[in-house]
Amino acid sequence: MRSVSIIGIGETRMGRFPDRSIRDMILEAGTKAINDSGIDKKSIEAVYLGNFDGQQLCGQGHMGPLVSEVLDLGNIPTVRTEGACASGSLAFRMGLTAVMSGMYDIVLVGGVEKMTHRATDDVTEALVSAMDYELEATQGFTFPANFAMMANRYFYEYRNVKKEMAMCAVNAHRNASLNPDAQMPKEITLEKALAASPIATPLSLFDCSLVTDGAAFLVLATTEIAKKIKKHRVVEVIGSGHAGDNITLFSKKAITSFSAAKLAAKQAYNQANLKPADIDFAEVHDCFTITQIINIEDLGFAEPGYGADLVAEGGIALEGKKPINSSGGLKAKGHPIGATGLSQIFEVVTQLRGDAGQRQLKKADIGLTHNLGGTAATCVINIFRGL
Amino acid sequence: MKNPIIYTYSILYSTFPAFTDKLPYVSAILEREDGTKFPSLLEGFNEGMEVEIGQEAKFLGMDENGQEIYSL
Repeated sequence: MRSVSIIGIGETRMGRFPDRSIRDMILEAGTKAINDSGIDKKSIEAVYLGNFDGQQLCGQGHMGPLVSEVLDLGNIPTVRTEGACASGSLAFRMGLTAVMSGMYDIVLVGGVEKMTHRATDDVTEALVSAMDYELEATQGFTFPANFAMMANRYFYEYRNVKKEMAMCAVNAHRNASLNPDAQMPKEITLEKALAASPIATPLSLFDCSLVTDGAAFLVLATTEIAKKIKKHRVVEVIGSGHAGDNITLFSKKAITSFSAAKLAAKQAYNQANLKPADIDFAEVHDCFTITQIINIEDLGFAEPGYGADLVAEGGIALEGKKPINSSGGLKAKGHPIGATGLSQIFEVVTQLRGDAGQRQLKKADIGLTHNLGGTAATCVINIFRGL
Repeated sequence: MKNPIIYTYSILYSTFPAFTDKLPYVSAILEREDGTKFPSLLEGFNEGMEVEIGQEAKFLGMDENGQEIYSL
């Protein structure tokens, strides 16, 4: 297997842009990534695009050729990947394995989602297609409800961490206030987060991630090519894991940890030959604040039941011992479903290159991304090293 | 057969159009005596009602699709 690196990154600002077209977002993020890489776009051999809800929200399918047309990439093969909120990471995994295997030397991976032109109720309905529609959605389950049910069970099995959940939101908003691409670049107080109106108890407004329009693209190449170009610090993919689980919440063995995440983490750590303590910083899937606390435990940054302690101690802050979601995360940078996994990698590469401006971490040599799909039924975890 | 108990739950204040007129309502995973679990919309929630894990759900009957209906 060949070593693979990221040679180009590009993203749109995340936010509510009901008038922006899918084409327009692909053009901006894709062009930025190609320009950032310094390669001629004629050397791109394939495209992998993550998108979750194009058909239901925009009436648009077959989005691979849309990318090759918009970016003028000619007759190269394109694939669209769908794995709910992990759709973008699946595109990344496909691009990664294609270059690792020797099939291609340079590929473009991207993600795009257009959501805010639709009413919130319609978006909620579109999102429930990522759970089991016949068994769960027909009972009125929503995604906030599924993660709220995990939170109540977590409170029952361990302890009530509502305050630490709110602290995750405060941290996300603080980091987003330093990120020019963030949807909600505004600090919030703990009191405000705790006083917000309920969505699905115990989750209230500030426990939930955002509905976002946006796109993010990356150019992947063999590390050999990356070292020759050397336009930026070379960012090598040193570990990548992908695991799944049952789609329904009720059929999972445990709902206070995610077996897909634990398995994907194990694969990525083993490949990278690293331990959780070796990771300098991480971008994790905080679709809801309780998820962030469970993720901390699944990734081995804390023992089961103690994830909230790391949050309470300030450990996840930019200046903490394990900075998490320096970008602002899904909570405050935004959650453009099919682009989210790539937007996480965009942040890790930005940090590893030392280009994160006011939110730049002091130590950024090894970063991790953690992206979940649906009710934690798909998980992709990647580890990156700056060479 | 004993009534199932609440394995976990949430009280919803926001949902999608097909269920908006039921708000607020309780989503739950119920657990039977033999350990099997299943998703359920628990009927009968009124604001201020106490709901907790381990509480029994009452069997109300079957709906038009042959699904069991339970209430708090």
